[in-house]
Amino acid sequence: MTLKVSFGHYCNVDSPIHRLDPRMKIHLFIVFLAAIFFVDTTWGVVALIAALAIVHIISKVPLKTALKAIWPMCLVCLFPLIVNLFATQGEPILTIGAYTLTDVGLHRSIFLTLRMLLILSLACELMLTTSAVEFCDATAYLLRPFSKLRFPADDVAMVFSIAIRFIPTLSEEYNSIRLAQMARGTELWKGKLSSRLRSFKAILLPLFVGAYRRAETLAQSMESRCYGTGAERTHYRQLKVRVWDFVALAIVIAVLVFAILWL
Amino acid sequence: MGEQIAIRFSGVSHSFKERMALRNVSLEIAEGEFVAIMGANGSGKSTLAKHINALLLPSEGKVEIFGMDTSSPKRLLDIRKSIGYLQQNPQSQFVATIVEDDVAFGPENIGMEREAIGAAVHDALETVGMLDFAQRDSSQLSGGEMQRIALAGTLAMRPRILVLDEPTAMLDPLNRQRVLGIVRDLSQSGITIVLITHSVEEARLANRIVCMSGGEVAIDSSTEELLAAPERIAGIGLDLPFGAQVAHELERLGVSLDGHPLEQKIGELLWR
Repeated sequence: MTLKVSFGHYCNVDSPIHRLDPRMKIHLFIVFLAAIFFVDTTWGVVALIAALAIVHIISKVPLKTALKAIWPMCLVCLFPLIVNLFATQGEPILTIGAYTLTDVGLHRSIFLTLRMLLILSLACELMLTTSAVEFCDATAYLLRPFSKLRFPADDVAMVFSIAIRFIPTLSEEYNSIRLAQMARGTELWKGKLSSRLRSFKAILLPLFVGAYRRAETLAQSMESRCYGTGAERTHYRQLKVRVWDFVALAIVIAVLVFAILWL
Repeated sequence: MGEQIAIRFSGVSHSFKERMALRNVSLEIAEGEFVAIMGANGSGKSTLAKHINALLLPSEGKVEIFGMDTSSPKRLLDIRKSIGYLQQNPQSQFVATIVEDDVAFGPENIGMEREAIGAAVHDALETVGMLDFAQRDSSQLSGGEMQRIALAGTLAMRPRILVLDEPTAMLDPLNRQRVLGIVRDLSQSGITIVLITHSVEEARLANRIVCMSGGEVAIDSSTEELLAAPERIAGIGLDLPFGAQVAHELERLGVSLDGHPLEQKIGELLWR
């Protein structure tokens, strides 16, 4: 199975969402995330989906690009969906062998899956509209108060942004190794679970070694470009909060308060 | 010579656990020189390159860059500022997703002002002919384009020395020629170039060729002298390209190339 993980991929288009200050985007993300957890009605979740859809339209990110980024994450939602469908007490609707689907289970599983999809879509929207450097600068800025406690805020932010930047690269590498192993006759999707897991060793091991080599090359490239040599880092892209950032924050808070209190 | 010594290796040895990667290497490279470092796999070329910008420190001996000892932590910033280092895999060298942001990474690290960073990024991208790519996503570029951007990333720090570790190893012939063309122009502008390569064809661009074998300097000669004696290159496990072999054989038979390209000379001979 081809694994094409586009999560972490930045979509470079010019839109009002892209132009928002990355620190404000992270704040908006946290506010939106809190609202997802506060909303406990189906209509509330529908309102949040509509709000996110509007954000997506304004961001001008092609729908295909966004779906490509989200779909591998959707697999994560399958587990709670199945567990809640059949393991929740309630009025029986359908019985398949030893498993009974209940009305409460159906409602809860749909609700939880939508909530998880919302969280993943929100994270993807943030990644698609914020470049690695913006993300790094914003995270470093937000973590700066912890520097007083000797917390390496800049380094943590750099590690975080590089990790996100390398997700699509590692996904490409996984696919190359998978094809190379298949060409050598490795059957990844045949046989018992134990033999399939053994076959996966043939992918995971070179993937791990490759990732380690990439990390070494990157570290040398960063060091040779004077990262961590003691000079105070400056920033080419200056972070600047504008009126539009506060307008966006006000709109998002208003929508979320409406969804939490009235729906 | 009168020229300033840019790189000086004095009795440098380096070992990885029990394996000796460099053995008592002594070498001087003057400012403005274009030196090709050649050798078979495992001969110590890349280890030598990594000593130049203090990515590795010698187990024995001393490496000096413009007189600054690479083992002195106080000089690390000055040493790294004066050296651009380019590796063979461009994709793994990118820190940022946007081309302009990646090129700006080095200048940001040395604390340049915003306006100065903008000018450095512009000049570097212009030098490698990639100014139109400033706002592009680096992951969407071809291998050759990526390598030119990675080169711009090192040039943005305005280095005096450029260390290129097999920069064309992963490129197609057209992009290889483009990258080598830029390197030749940079050399003519006065930057000291250290080119690590397997290819004798590429090494011909340099004024001087240093051949490594078993961690030692086996040959240190001017390019002209070395190419006139191809048996010396074969002796350290490197092949002389077909063109160079033909040129050597023609000259041995008394047909002078008079500085003309080999293809042109062969054409003339066939026409006669």
